[in-house]
Amino acid sequence: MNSLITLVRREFWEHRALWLVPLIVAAAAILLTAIGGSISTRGVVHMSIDVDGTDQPVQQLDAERRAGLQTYMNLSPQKKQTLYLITLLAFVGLEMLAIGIVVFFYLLDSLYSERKDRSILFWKSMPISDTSTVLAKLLVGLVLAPLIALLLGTVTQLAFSGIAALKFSSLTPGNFPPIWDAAVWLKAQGLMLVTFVVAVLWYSPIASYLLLVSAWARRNVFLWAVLPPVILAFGERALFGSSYISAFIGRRFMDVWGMFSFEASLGAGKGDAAAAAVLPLDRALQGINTTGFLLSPSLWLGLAAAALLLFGAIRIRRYRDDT
Amino acid sequence: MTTVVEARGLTKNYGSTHALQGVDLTVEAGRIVGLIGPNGSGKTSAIKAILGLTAFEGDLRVLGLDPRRERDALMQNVSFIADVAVLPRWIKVSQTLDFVAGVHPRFERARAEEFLRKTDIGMSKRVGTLSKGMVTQLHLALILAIDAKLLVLDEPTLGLDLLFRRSFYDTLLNDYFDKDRTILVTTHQVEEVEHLLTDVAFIQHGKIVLSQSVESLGERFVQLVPTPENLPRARALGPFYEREVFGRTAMMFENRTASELAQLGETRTPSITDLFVARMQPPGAWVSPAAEVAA
Repeated sequence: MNSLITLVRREFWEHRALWLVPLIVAAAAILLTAIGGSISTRGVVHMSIDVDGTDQPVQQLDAERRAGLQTYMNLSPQKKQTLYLITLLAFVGLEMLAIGIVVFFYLLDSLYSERKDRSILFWKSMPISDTSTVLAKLLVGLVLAPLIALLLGTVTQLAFSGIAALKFSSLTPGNFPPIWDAAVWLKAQGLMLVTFVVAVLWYSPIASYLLLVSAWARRNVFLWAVLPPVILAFGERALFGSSYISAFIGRRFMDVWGMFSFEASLGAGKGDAAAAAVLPLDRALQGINTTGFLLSPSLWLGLAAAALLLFGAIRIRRYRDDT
Repeated sequence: MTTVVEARGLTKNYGSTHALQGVDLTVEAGRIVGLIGPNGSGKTSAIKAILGLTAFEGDLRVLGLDPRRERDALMQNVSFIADVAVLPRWIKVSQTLDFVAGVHPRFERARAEEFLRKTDIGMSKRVGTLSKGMVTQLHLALILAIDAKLLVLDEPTLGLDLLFRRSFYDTLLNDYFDKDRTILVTTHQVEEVEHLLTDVAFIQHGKIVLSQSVESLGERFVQLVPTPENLPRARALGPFYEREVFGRTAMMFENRTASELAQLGETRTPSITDLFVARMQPPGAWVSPAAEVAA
């Protein structure tokens, strides 16, 4: 246990982007919310002191903003909750996108750089098995770093809710319901947690594939990771005119998000059309089918593939001898 | 006495290069064994086989374990420095201590810190900012603070200045070595380890050409500097090596007693360096120029 903690700490020492990037993204998101808020409220607050009227500030906003606010104000509480939920998830989505990119490069580098700088000869002089080493790197890339991003996403949500509530209440005192909705926030957390677990399982073969390439390639790990699937996909298209491989790869990246059907709830168009397209919260959540996803064969086949790829990465690290 | 390393017929090929061609080697506990050979002689391959870092053929037991299948168990009791400057550049000195303390049950952190206090290495420095000598000092501080049954050092002082090399071997002998520990050290700078070895093994072209305790060297090898008039008689006894030193000829004999040779001139037990030079000559090269002229 002690050595597992040490192995994990070592990864965060070497790859500072694993915690720095989520931190920067969170700070930027909060800062933008705050600045964006203060710019639009400064004038408004100023005006409301001058005019001392409740409707006056809204008229100071440009037409589009006013229309947007009006649309929002006209929504039913149920639909407002849906929009709030989507906003909350968007903050986490931003974090997850950022950490996804960081983790991609982290995993590719993790078993390659130690061979490049020959520090593998130092790591291997310690009583740690290759299995523990590789699994610790998988744990960091697939679970722990994304978990940090998830937690920072939650922090961003809370900061946004607080800032937005302040902003709206100063904007039109009495007219807006407070933006904070504990029930929706809790729903968002539940949804995030479930999605997190599912996504970890779903992406495990991709993470394992990256570790395998990282353990195997002599140089250019990025090209070795990306080119084979790209060449296969183009080759298939050129030779057979079909696109099964690219479709397969696309599904492996995107299918986990298919369990949400927020497209329907986000709607298209502007103003009243968009407002009409927003589903009430309970109906929006109905579209989410995690159980079905957890039971799908592709998830379990993916886990089996991940196990094989990991086994390969561990064997290569154990028996490779070119340092 | 227990056997720490027992190797029989180790073979290793890199394509058409025969790195090891049937290495037989026995290392007993509590010894300091020098595995000595020129560059490319198979030293590193033999070391890597013993440490389970490379595939090979033949029988090999290290502390009773097979390094191929039981490496994880083996590493509990073996520590090594396989090459200089392999500490990663990004790591901080304090982090190296944290790391080894976190993963190695036999690491004594205070001991490593004591080693480091004698150096100019700062705890918050990154390895990438240290000089090559400092990186080696740090690595040694970490490894020497591990209580291992077998310590393997492959060219540990390569590229370091003389002062540091001397102090390193002194530390190894005085602070680290004891009866329960075994050290296997490879080098091509024989003269540096000469005074601390208890055993020597010469390796050449992937084979062990000599493996012997230092105290028994004198029973097997004698160096003779014959008086000029005794030169032909001495040569007739079949030295396996001779060379001219200050106008006199030094000859190396194997399996001749000192008393037998003493009648012909000055005898002494050859140093490991002398023996190494004598043994590492290509086949036939030991034939003296004089002998060639005679033929």
